Amino acid sequence: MSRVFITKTTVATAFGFGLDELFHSLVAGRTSLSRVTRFDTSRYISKHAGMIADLSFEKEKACPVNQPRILTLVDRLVRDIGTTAPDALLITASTKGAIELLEDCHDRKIPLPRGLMVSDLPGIISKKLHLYRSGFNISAACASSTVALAKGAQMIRDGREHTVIIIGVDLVSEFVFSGFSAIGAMSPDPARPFDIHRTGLTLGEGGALLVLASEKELNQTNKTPLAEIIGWGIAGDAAHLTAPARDGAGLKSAIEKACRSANLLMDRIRIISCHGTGTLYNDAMELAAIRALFSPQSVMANSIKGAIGHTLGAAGAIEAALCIKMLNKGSIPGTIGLQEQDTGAEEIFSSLTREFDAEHVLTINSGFGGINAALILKDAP
Amino acid sequence: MKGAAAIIRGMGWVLPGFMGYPGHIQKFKDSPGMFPSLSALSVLGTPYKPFGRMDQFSKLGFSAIAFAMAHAGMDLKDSVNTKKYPKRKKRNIAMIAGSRTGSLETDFLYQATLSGEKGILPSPALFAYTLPSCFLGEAAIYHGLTGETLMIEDEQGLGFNALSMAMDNLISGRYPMVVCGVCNCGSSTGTQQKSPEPGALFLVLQALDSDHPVRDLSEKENMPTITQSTREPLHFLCNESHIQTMQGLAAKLYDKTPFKEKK
Repeated sequence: MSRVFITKTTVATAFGFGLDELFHSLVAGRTSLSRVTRFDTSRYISKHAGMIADLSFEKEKACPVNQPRILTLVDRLVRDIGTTAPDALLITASTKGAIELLEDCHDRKIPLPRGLMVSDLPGIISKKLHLYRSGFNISAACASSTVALAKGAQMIRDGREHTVIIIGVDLVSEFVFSGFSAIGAMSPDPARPFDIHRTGLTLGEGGALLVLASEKELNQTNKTPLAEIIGWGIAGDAAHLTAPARDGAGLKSAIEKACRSANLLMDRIRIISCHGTGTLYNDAMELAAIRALFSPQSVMANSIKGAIGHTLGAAGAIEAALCIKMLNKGSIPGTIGLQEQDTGAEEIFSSLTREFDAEHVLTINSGFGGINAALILKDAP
Repeated sequence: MKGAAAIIRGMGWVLPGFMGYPGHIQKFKDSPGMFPSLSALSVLGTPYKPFGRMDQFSKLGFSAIAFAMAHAGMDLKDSVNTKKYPKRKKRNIAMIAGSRTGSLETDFLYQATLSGEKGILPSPALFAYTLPSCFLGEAAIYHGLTGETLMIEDEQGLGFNALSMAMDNLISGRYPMVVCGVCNCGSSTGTQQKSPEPGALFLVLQALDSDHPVRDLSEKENMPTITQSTREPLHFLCNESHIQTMQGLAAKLYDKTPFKEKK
C-alpha cells in the first residue's frame, strides 16, 4: 500500500488563475459573482454566475468550429503546472465538457466537432500533456472530481499507478444555465449557502488540476508534497434522482468510509469544506449529516459557492485544491453570502475567516443520482 | 501471474434486435436492427412509472442492468412493498458504467427545447437526463444499491476501464458485488470519430470469496469467471486478446452468443 501525495496543483475560477488568487479573495470576503453577459438570461430565474473573464476562443486548425473555451481553460491549467511524467494516468472530471458547441451543430448540418462529447476530453488533454495514454473522464454529476480524486488515490494506494493527473473542469453555458433554471434550483440572487433565507444556487465556472503521486514517485523525483490524501469514501442515497436523502444517509456513509479508509477517528476531523450549493435541500442534508457525525462545537465548516458559484464537475477539485491552502495557512475562509445561519448551523458556519490548528480537512460533495463523495486531506509532512 | 477472479453472476443486454439475458431473450418484432420503444412491462414485468419519464439512453442502461439483476436472481428478492412500487432493501453494491457517447442524443433533444420557437421553454425532466450517470442513480433507487455509482467516458467506449475499476473494487474487498457494463446511444450523431455499437450490456460481478450466497454451489461452479492481474490494467485468464467489445467478452465467457435466441 502506497501513501498518496498531492505534488502540484493549480486552479482557475472567476477570481482568476492560481490558488493564491482564490484563497486571498476568499479570505478578503470578496465575491466573483456578476451579471451574465455571455447569453440572454431574461427567461431564467437567475441573472448571475461566476464567469472567467478572459477565456477567448482560439482556432483549432482541424476543426470546422472554434476550439472550445474549455480547452482554452485547460491550456492555462496545463501551462501553470509545467512538465509531468509521461506515464501518468489522466482522469478528467467534467459533467458537460464543451456542450456549448452543440449550439452550432444541433441541426446536424455539420459533422460534430471533436470535443463535443466529454469522452473526447481526456484524449485531447493527454496529448497536450504529452502522456502515453489517453486516460478517461469520470462522470458522477456534481461529485465528479471528488470521485475522480478518490479513484486516482485508490489506484496509487493499490500500487496500480504512480502518478495520476486529475483535471476537474466545467463552464457556464446556456445549456446548463437554462436547465438549472428549469428545475427551479437557482436563486434569483447570488447564492447564500447555509443561510436560513437561502433560495438556491448560483452557477460558476472553473477548473483545477492536481497531480497525485505515490511515495515511490515522490522519493525518486525529490518532489516536496503539498498535502497527502489519506482517506476517501463514495456512497449512494438510492432515494431520489435529483434531491438528496433528507437524512444525509449517503453522505454520512461516504464520510464514514473516508474515515475508515484513513484509519482516522471521526473526532479528529475539525475542518470541513462543504458542497454547500445554497439550495434548500442540499444544505439541509449536509447539515443533517454533519450534525449526526460530529459535535457542532468541535467543527468549523464553509462553502465557497457563494463566492465563485457552483462549478459542477469541477467543484470537488477546486475545493480540494483550496483545502491544501487552508491546511498550509491554518485558516478556513468564511462562507460568502451567509448572513444568518440556518437553524443548527450557527456554531459550524461563519461568514468570516477563522484560524484553526488542525492537520486534517474533510471535503465533501454530492450530486444528482444520489451520489456522495468525501476526501480527507492531511497537511504535508 | 497473480490473478484474482470474480464470478459473473448475471448478465443482461439491450442491443438492436434483441434484449434480455441468457435463457430469456426477447426479439424486437417490428424492426429488427432497431431499438424498440422500451417499456417497464417488457423490462421489469411490472408497471414502474419512473421508467416512462427516462430518456432513451437511461432506458437502455436501466433495462440492461434490470436484466442482469434478474439473471443474477437479485431482481425481486428482498423487496419491501410500498404504496406504489416494490422497494429494495439497501445493499452495498457498486455500479460502474463505460460509455463513449454518454447522453449525447438527449443533449440534442434538450438543446432543441432551447433553440426552438419562441415560447418553448427548456424541459426540466429532460435536463436531469443530460447527466449521463443519472441512469445509474435510477437503477440504484430501483434496486436499492448504495455503493459508488459512476460513469467512465473514454474514446473507445467499450467499458474496459469500467470493468478494470470494477475488478479493483472486488479484488480489494471494498465491495462484494459490482454491477459493471457499457451503454452507448445510437450512432446517428454524425461524429467525426468512430463510435461503438449502440446498446447496453451489464454484468453482475461477484467476488469469489464474497460471503454473499450464490444460488447453489453447482451453479457457482458453472459460473464464468473474469480474472485480473493486480499489476497490469487488465488480463483475462482466457487470454482472448481479439475480444473487442464487452458484448464479445460476455459471449466468450458464457461460451455462447448472447445475440441469438436459445433453443
